[in-house]
Amino acid sequence: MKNDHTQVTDLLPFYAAGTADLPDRVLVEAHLPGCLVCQRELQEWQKIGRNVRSVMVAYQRQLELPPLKLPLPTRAASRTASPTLPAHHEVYRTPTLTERLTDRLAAWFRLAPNPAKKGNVFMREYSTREEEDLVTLPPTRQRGFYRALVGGLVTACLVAVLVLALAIANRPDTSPNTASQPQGQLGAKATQAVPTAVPTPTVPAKPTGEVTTAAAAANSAGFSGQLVSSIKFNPNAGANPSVPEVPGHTNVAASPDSQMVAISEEGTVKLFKTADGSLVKTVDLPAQYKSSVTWALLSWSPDSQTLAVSYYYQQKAGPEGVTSQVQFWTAQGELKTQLAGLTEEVDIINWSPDGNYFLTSSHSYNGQNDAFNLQLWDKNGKPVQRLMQNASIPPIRIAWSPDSQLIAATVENGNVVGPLSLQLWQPDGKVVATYDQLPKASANSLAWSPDSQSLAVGLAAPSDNLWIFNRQQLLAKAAKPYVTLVGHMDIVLAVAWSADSKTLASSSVDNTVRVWDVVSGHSTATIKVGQLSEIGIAWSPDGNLLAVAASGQNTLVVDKTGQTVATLKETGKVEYLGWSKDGKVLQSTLDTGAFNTWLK
Amino acid sequence: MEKNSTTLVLNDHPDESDLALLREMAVGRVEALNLLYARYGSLLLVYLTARLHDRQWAEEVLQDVMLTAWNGAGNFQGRSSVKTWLFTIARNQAVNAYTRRKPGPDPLDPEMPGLAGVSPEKLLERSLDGATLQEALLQLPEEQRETLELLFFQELSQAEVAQVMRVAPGTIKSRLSRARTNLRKFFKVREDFE
Repeated sequence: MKNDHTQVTDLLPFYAAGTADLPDRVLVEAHLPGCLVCQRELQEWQKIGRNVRSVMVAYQRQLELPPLKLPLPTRAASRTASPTLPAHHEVYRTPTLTERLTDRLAAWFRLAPNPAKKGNVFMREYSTREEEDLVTLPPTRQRGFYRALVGGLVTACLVAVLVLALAIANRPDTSPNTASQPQGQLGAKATQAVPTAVPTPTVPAKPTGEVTTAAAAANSAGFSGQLVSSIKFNPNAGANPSVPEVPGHTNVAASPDSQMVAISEEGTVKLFKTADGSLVKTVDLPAQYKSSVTWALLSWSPDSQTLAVSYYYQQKAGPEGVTSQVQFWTAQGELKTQLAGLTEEVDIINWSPDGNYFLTSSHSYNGQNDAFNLQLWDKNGKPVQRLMQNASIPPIRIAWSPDSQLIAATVENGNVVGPLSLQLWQPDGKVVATYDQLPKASANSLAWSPDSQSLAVGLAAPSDNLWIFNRQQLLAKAAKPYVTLVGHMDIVLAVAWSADSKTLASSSVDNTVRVWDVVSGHSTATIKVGQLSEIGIAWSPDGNLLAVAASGQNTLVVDKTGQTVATLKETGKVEYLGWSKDGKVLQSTLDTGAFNTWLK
Repeated sequence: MEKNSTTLVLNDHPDESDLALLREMAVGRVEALNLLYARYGSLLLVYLTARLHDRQWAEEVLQDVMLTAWNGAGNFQGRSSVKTWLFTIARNQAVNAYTRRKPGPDPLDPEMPGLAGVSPEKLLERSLDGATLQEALLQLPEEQRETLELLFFQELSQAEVAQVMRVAPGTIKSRLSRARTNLRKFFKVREDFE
């Protein structure tokens, strides 16, 4: 139990800043008159505060606020819009085929804005308002009239087509496999796993499943584009944490078998089935000493049987009151084991592909500065080896070779872009290769080829930005253990290997995705996709399809030649894309707080 | 308080009026966005410029922040103040911008001329007092300086600073403690500090 003096000492900077809450102010004011030490400390904080304000005011005086010039999408006023407390795990209602055709036709006749240009507002409109709002909104009254008119015509045509289809369907059928809708693996399981027994108020309605494919050709190319489930989460939790080298939402983790997704927010970890979006279990994290958004860093083991859950929280006042935890749960959310005696804040958990080891990248304060550690553990939580100890430089990207024999990491000077080096360790902690001649640029991506023989590094550089290292040459300390792929005119964001280990896809700030034949070093396809997301490219397991997080809140599915197979309309910027191992499901995480599962 | 179709009349309490602005933004009232911008734009610009050390870049990111706020107004959860929410967005956008930035002069290099092309040294010349301490502040590690700024200049509470920086509240205390230790070290002896 802390005494008043220690407690007050902790509170003094907030008291000096005028942001301490009332009970804390009372405590400080009761203690101060009798404590000379605290009086001196308070004066010190007040002086610091005055000078901080003085510096910042000097900054502010030199900054003239520029006019706001945003390409704001027009937003229809909504009677039902409530910005305060929307349902948290609600599934938005996707527009029906009729609605989409109506809007598309209306756009052709210039009666309505092109939905493709409206971004997420388009989707929000459908998700938040009653149908009749379309014709009662003053700014869009005229559009609504024509929309209704065109919609009526379209509906009539669809009814006619439906009658015709029914007539055909009612004919004697000789095929035993006739199906009225795509029946992928997850789709079939969804039918079996209707969550009638799941006791949760947040079970979403099953989406309509016809969200979009870009063209009729999409289906013929083998991508249905059916939205299986869409699970909402708080977009403010877990995104872009204080460690900028961890991209995307670290509080959302899809199991490698694509069956489950774990989401942490508001002091809980929730487990959902992706087949139908049903909530399986909610686990409460320990309560904070003071209110603060709490979420855990999540990482599934390769066999999808274990979920690593890392979090830290304020148990009591003072720096020593912070408790750090790494726990291991079953896929059903039951605690299996936890790491003991951990005092560092864990930023990354990275499992070896064989599931026998995992790495933690963490940071702690060593009395002078932040110290970064990279620790290898066996799957039972027994420490194996410190790969980095009290380093002033954090590992920026970490990648296990698929054969689990090597760990690669790019290392740079913290937030400051400094000399970048590539290091390889064996699982026993021995450094087996270091290459420190990379350009002075941050590494945005690091990926091993599936055969573990090549390592791709994507750099934040306008040129010399895509490097392919040869494993054997790196280990042999060859003078030039790499080739560079020349083509991207700007920062490389993400890289992804195809299953054949000879084809690589890369995305860049130059607004293209390139497909490379790594053997020849030539780019075999260039896909112009507009402004790209940070990390979103993923090959299907068979290497035939490439999913790309493209501009305009779309996920593009292209073939190896760059031809568009399907365009999936998302409701936010895509941060993560991943295929199930059987290639039947594509999953996306959006910055607006949605985890979508699409059926191939 | 009355509200008509053309003029926004808001409650005096900042949180309430901020929330009212978000409600109006959620239903498409651009003037509400302009009001929010007028209220917080300057503070956000200072914060972003201090993070990115490039005025033009900060102005661009500020536009992104306001666009994100516009798009996200309907999803505001009400679990923090609007101001904290805006700073959280600003920090995220700064990190995003930082990730995507092109190599060049290191924006976190303390020697680099910072705001509006004015070096910290020149900035200090304009200060009337406390120049030495201000120089020390400018030499603090980024995370410590940011913590001090959010607390003393942006006037966020401990929990709010922790939320914006996405760390535990205790971490804020330890960062402040480190900042003070560094400042003391800068002056070698504490007497210089007083």
